[in-house]
Amino acid sequence: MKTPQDFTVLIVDDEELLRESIIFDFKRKGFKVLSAANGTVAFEIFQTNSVDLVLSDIRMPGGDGIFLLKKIHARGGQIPVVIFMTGFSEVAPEDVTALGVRKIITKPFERKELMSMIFEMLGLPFP
Amino acid sequence: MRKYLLLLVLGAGIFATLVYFYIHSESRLAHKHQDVLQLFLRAKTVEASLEKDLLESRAFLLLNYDLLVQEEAEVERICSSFRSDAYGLSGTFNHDIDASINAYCDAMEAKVEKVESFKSRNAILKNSVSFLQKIASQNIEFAGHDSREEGLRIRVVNASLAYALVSTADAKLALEKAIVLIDRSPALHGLNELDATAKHASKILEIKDELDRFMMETLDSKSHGLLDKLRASYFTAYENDQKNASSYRRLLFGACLLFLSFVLYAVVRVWSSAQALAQANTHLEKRVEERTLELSSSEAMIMQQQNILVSLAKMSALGEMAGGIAHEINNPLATIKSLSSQISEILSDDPLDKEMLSKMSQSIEKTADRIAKIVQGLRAFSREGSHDNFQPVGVNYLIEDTVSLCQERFKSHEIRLIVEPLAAEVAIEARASEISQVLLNLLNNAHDAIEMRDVKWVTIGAWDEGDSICIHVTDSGDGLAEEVREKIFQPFFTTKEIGKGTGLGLSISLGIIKGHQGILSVDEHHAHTRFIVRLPKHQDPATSTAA
Repeated sequence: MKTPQDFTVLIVDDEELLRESIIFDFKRKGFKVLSAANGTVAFEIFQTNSVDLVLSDIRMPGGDGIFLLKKIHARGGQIPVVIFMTGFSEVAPEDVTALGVRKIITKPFERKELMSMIFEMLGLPFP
Repeated sequence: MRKYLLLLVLGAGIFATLVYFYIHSESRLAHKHQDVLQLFLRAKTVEASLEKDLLESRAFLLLNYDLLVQEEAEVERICSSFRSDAYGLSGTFNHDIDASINAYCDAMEAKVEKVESFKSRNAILKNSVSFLQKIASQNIEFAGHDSREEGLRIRVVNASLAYALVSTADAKLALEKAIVLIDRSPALHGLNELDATAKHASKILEIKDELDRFMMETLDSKSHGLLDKLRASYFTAYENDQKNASSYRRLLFGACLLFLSFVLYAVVRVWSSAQALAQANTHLEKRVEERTLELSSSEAMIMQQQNILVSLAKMSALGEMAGGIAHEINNPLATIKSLSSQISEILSDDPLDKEMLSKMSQSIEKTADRIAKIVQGLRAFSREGSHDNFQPVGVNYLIEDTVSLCQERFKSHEIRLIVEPLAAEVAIEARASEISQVLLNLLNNAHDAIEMRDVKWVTIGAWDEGDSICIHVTDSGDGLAEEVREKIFQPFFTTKEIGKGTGLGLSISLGIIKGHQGILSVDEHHAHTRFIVRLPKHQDPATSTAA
């Protein structure tokens, strides 16, 4: 039986306080957490680390979410990616789904919903 | 009106000239006529005097010709006057007058010649008569000496004197017989006195006829008739002249009437022109009033439309920003939501991580402040500020406020937005929402201009110039082409693709900056595309008006 400790989650958002807050939640649940403020840095981390799940914002200066998605998709892996959106048409949902996005979450979101969704995606029992 | 005055003056000039010529010619004619009448009188007089003096000379065998000489001279003067005045008598050359003058003067000159002949013969007669008179007085002394010689002499002297005095045919016959008697008496020949007597008697016989012929010819001269003919010719011409003069007068009268009616016409025209002008002026004033009213109402309409356009442009800019702003607000909102949810979760932990709680609540506060700032910027931007008073506002504050509205938009297109505020905050008197609108317009334009470029950055900064502040918005573009630069502030000019730009942003911005007594310009010397907003730190209350 796998536990959250077996998973590494990469959290990408330029909004520092939100990123910290999400990191806090995931660490509290026992996940291994990596983080980045933009897509470019995130992809570097992704390449050098074994990442099980990516949680990313779309709009970010210096390499946005789409950039990161495309890079990850180009590598051909089956890494589940969850993206944040504000719901103000930054990008069409079908476009990101085509790039391997498993779930789209709209800001502001319910922490518990997000966490249960992640647990479900990773096949973990939600406590 | 001036035209009529000019015509009036011209007409008056012509009129005066006509009157002058008329008066002048009238007086000239009158003078001439008097002179001519005088001349006729003189001619008549001299002719009569000449004849009278001729008769006297003949009757009394006078040898003093002074009067006759004077009269001859007078005849010469009169003729010379007539001849020289041939043209002048009737103003124009008249053949009748000319011919009459020639005839009269020729006759008069012939008459004078005859008088001259008379004079010489009269002298001879006088001489002979005087001699015979002397002989006659001797005869009286020698009375009583009855001799044939004496008898003959007395007979000749008596016959001669009688003939000299009364020229009858009998007297002539008696004298001729006496002379014949002497001629037929050869015995008497050689007697000096008798010879001389006979000679003088013969002379008288010879001269007397001639003398009387000259006298009669002089007296019978046709000159009277010729003078009368000349007079008749002259008067005919004079009457013609008078007739001409009267038609000239009629012409002048007509001209006067014409001129008078012209003056009346001109006066009426000037008067009616003045009336029309006054009416036109009134009409014009009314029109101007109406137009002014129309203009002010259309000005108000333009103002209203401009305000609508400004609002529309703002709405369009707002629409463009809405997505970005929503994202901008949603991010901190998500943070707050997440953090507050975490706090309530942590509160049940044991032991309570107070440090973490404090950190989280601080983060919430900080994030809430960010939202407040965005909302504030939005509020400042969205209000219609053209009637606001000028209020002191910080330049850096204005820049940051504006930047907060579009940061997200720049971020989403990966355009680096560089803010270079003043080292120390400087306040300017401005309508904050209007300046914010201008800066946002410049930033959005910069964004749209370089969106598709490889190198993408926009800088907004400011510098202090003492009395004024310059805010610049510079993008990584290569500057504007001259033809674009010339038209860029014109309404409805846009380089953006159809549907993207209204073409009003910069013209509205220009109006706003002018309303602040500032200058909005393109820095054509800068390597990149740079707009500069120059704003005075203080507004002159006398000249600043609502934009």
